[in-house]
Amino acid sequence: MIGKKSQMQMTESVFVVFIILIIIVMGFVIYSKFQESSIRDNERMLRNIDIIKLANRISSWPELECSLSGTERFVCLDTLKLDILGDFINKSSDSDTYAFNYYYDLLKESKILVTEVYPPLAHRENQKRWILYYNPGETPVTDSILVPVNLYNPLSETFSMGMLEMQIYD
Amino acid sequence: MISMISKNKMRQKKSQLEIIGVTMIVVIVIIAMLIATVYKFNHPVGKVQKRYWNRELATNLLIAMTHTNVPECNNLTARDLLQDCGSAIPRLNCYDHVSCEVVNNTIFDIINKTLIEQQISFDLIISSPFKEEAVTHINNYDCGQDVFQDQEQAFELVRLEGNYIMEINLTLCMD
Repeated sequence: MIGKKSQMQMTESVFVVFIILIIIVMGFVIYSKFQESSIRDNERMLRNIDIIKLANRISSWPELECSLSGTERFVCLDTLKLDILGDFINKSSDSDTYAFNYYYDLLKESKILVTEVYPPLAHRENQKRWILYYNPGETPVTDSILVPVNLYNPLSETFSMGMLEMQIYD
Repeated sequence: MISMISKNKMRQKKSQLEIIGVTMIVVIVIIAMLIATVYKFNHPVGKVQKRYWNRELATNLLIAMTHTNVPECNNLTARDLLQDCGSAIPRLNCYDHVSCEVVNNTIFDIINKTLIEQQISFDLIISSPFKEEAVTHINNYDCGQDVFQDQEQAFELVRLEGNYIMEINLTLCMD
């Protein structure tokens, strides 16, 4: 009788330990799942911050910056330079030249679009747009990053308002 | 003999209670760890990026907006119009419209195509020491009402006559 009771107690203890182990394992699994997703989120966040920095730096590229009597303007793109650089990059992407490789090193798989938002036109579809760089991958991995910029027209010497949109692909 | 059995039973009950106690402690510790993990890894992720982006967006928007030329008023910049609008006696007349009217329309146009279109929660206040009410006040999604909301702010100063200063304050609220 005493032997059976102690056997029962042993089984009970083993059962309790087993349940505790299951709970601990479950805790670790859930913990690692959260950690995995948070690492992914952090990676995405750091990438997005890099993109924001890059998008801000674009306006100070000598190929695009507004130069007024030798002074540099902050967040300003020259529309003539936008026309020329956009054409240049898109043409060189077809022939896979050194020029394209140079910009590929900076921009990888991404899309950079500049849209004029002010002054408004009667038909919105007529609003000026420049596709500066378009080298798509499979799926976009960043949110669309928008940077407000001034668009300088050196012919009329006027500034309009535009949005630079940048997206990075996988 | 009877007292031995009852003593044994008592001991068994005590050890059972102890095991239940230990199990409960373990469960509580695990639950606390889980809650801490969820809070630690879920709370700040994305906020840093959003804050950074909001700050850049607000600053760039104010700089770009104030330097934009307004075709409705002889291609003067929005800053020139604000300077006139915020002064004690506005002098500019843009084809039968006063500077305040033109610059308010311009600012609304720009904000509409940038922040409102992107569904960003914001509060823009332009105030002049010569005016009792704000020259411009536009907001979206009640941003600026709740002081405890996470906000990023940018401002620009426009110099007026007599060393007075006009303030342009743009607050972006986090969702």
